[in-house]
Amino acid sequence: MIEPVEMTGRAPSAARLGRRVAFLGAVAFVLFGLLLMRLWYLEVLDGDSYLAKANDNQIRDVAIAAPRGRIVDHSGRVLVDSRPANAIVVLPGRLPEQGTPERAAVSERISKALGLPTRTSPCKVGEAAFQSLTPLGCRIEKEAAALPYANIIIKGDASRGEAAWLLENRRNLPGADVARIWLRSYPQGPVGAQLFGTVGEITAEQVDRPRFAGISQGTVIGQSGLEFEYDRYLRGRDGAERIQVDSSGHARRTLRRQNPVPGKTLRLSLDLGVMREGQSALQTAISLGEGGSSGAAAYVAMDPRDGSVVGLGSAPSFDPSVFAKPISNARYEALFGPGATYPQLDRAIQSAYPTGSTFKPVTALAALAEGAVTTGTTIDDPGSIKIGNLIFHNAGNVANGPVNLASALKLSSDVYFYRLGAKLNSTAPQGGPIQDLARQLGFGQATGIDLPGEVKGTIPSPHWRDERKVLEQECAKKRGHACGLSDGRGWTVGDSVNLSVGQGDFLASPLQLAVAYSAIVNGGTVLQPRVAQDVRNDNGLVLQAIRSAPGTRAKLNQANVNSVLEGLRQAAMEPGGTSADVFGTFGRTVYGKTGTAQRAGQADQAWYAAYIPDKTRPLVIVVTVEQGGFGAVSAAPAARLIASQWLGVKKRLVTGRSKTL
Amino acid sequence: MSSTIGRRSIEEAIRPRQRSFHAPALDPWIIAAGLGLIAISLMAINGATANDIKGDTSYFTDRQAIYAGVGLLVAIFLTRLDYSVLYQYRRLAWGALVAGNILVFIVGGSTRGSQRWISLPFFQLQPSELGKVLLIVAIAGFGVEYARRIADSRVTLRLLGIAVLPAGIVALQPDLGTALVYVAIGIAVLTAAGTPARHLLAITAGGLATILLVLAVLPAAGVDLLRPYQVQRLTGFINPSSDPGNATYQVNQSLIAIGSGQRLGRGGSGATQTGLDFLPEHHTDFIFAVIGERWGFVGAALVIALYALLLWRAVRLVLLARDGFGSLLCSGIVSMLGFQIFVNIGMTLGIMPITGVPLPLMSYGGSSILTTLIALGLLQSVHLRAAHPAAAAVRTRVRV
Repeated sequence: MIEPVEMTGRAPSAARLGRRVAFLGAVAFVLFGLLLMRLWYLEVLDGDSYLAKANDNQIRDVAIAAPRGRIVDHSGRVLVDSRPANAIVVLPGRLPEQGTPERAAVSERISKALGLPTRTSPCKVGEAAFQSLTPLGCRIEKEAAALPYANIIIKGDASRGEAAWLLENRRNLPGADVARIWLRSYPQGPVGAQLFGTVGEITAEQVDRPRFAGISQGTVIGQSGLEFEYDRYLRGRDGAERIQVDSSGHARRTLRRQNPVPGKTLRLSLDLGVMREGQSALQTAISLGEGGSSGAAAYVAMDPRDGSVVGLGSAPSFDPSVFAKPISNARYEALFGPGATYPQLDRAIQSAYPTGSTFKPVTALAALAEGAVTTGTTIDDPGSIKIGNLIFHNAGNVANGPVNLASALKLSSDVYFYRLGAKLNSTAPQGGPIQDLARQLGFGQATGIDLPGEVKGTIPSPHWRDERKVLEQECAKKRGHACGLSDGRGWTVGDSVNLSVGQGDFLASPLQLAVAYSAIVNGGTVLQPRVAQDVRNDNGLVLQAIRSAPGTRAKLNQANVNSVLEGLRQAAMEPGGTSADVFGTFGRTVYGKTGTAQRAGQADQAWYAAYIPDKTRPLVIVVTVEQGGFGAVSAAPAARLIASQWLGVKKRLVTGRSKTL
Repeated sequence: MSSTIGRRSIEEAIRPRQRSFHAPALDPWIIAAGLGLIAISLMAINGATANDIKGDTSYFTDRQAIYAGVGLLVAIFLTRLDYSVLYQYRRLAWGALVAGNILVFIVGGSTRGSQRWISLPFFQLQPSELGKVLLIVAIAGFGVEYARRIADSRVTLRLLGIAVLPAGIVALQPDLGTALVYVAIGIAVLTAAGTPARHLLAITAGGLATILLVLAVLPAAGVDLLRPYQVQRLTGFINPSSDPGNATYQVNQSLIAIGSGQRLGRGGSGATQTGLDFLPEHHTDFIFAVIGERWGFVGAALVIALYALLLWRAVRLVLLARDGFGSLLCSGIVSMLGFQIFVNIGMTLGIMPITGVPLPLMSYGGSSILTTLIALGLLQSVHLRAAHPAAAAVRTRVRV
């Protein structure tokens, strides 16, 4: 504790302190008086003029669109970008009152200037009916009724001239404005178009869904593909600007600005080189196909260690930039309808086909595990086999003679596998060992890839057949005619025989086949494939790594796997192997299986599935060509081209002649 | 023996009425004025910032209420503390003042080109704000220490240096307004400590010369100590409409806001000037414009009256303080509050330059409200131990 302060000597006299305090007090009094007088002058004497000035100050709030994040390949090459554009927009809330001629005049003037139809006709929106509106006017009323607070984009990619015209004529166009927006651009054109998907304004139904909680009307969101799957990273946050305008609407200054937050960059595991090569290889494969001209094909290339997809493509493809502008129904139908063989369909994941002989390794592994055969067991292959009262043939009735497991895979002997199919047949509801292993390897269920709309495929079993029969009966009853879901037959041994070679009711997508082959070569891990790798900011800093769920396990015996792989190696490498014509000269060890699947009413579908080991970039690749004929003829050469690109092997188109299934 | 400045003068100046002794207590007027101003501040901030943060209409209000709550706790603590303890910490206080203000150059965050903040986990501390009370403690302490030689011009220079040196550092941050508050505190404490009038006159002359030098002479000679925006802000108020684009935009909008409030104000929904962003900083430096617009002359005059009440009670304590240290503390606080009130309100009314001085207890900001409440706590501490008019009379009879 401090001792009381000593203040001896020449302390100021108390009187002087009193005087000084009085002086300071007086100064304060005067200053406060000054403040009050000034306040009185401003508020009471001159208040009216300031009130008038305050009323002349008005504001306008403008949204600043945030660009969506880029989608780049694993080394940062841009696959999908954003570009700025001018949009002609209408804000329903600022239009003249509904039903007035002034309101109709706005859409008429815009229609005229933009070259849209100007003929008026009655328009009905819910309860409200309008006597005469232009098609644009009717559209505005409809969209305003659905989402009253969203900007209606009349033209998404307006030219400079159109934007300038609108700004000059703003006075006659209340409610219309030019907005800076961001459009998607696709520097790679049709490469991977199905994968990326499309963007569009949030729809009236979507606004209410929990997935889109907190997204305001008019926000552009991902509607399909990766844009949909990773929307929350790719979508930025729009900014806003508050502008001071005078009473005639001229902008004076920016009062407040909240900068938009651009979307994050989505980095994929895809390789642009593989994607480009894949797309062109599919075209090559289609042209090589002998069967017909459906013109459709697909491929998947993935790393069997972790399921990261290196390439994935589907033909025919399309230029996704057509969606930047509104598209008419007729044009949509022409571009994307049946006549164009549905280019929006991502056949690598959204189509399930019979896989033909590419399924044989699964049958082989099931049979080995069951002890139905050993690697040494030889079965005579006379070219055809009678099971029950049906005769099953090899392709072209070729007789292969006595074959063991390896040579049956090498030559793709059907008879060998027909026998296994018959042996492993089971009338248990879920089928026998083949169905069991197929399920373990991921067939019959979605792989869980980070892309929407994946198909599950089918593993036929007695139970499945019965189910289909019931469905068919119900459907036929309802419709009054057959629905084609089932032929009404129960399970027979013939179904198991067909399954053994990937025929009959068995259906799988190219991706499922790739996942199953990956599991076979990686020791039994059924991976969840991934297209996206991580989310980054503009500086390339990883914000979020995207990880797959840990894979499930398939029960595989390594010795059995090695025996099957030996057969696949011989098939691709040894003279006489089904794809040796194509891969014999590849210069690397390849484990490959051709497939030629019969489809009712169509030419055969070509398949090729292969595994190419490599220290740093091992690859499992699956190619299928609808109506492509024999696997070695069209699918295997495409697989070689794509694998060459990934592994840095000199690219060469080598076609095969093998006519095996 | 406790000899104090002006013990005798109390008896002469106040002329205690003869009445019975009662225990010294807190000054209810300071409490009333302080709480009243805080309440008005919260209402004004709440109204003006409702649309500032999307999805959180009371973002600023909530924070200001928390700052005020913390400040009140600190004030209560200080009231219970005998302020004279602080005398022995005068050197530490000054050291902390200087060090804190230098620290912001090293670890400080900057807003709009000036480095003033140190980021703490929950709070952005502005050392130059808390420095105001540190300076008051320090300079009051040294004023007492040198009291014996107060007429010595070297003492005057030293005391002046104690205020001017940290002011210089703060001016470099650059925070001209706070630097001027430091100088105002220094001059007030010098005056109360009994510095000879001729020294005070010389200081005033020197100050005016410095202003002239910085604003007119040196720029003419090509030396610019101030940044252009600072000069514009300092001189713009003389003719506000000459430059509606930039420096004086705020003042013009402030005048429109206050003027449009007229007698009774435009109310909450009508206050477009301060509610719609025309006036940036509406919750900090220009909070008085919010009051003027929303509650008109009546509301604004009430606020000025509350400040006048507060200052009157503080000035009174300069005379009533038990000892010289208490007296000098109060004079510093009076100067700090009075200067800020006048400069800030004067700025919103367009009669003072824009200097970025917060309005005590009214402007949004944790450091500012904390500093002011510390000052009010010290006032109460002095009051509690003061020569109470009645008590003083009793003590005089007993002791003298």
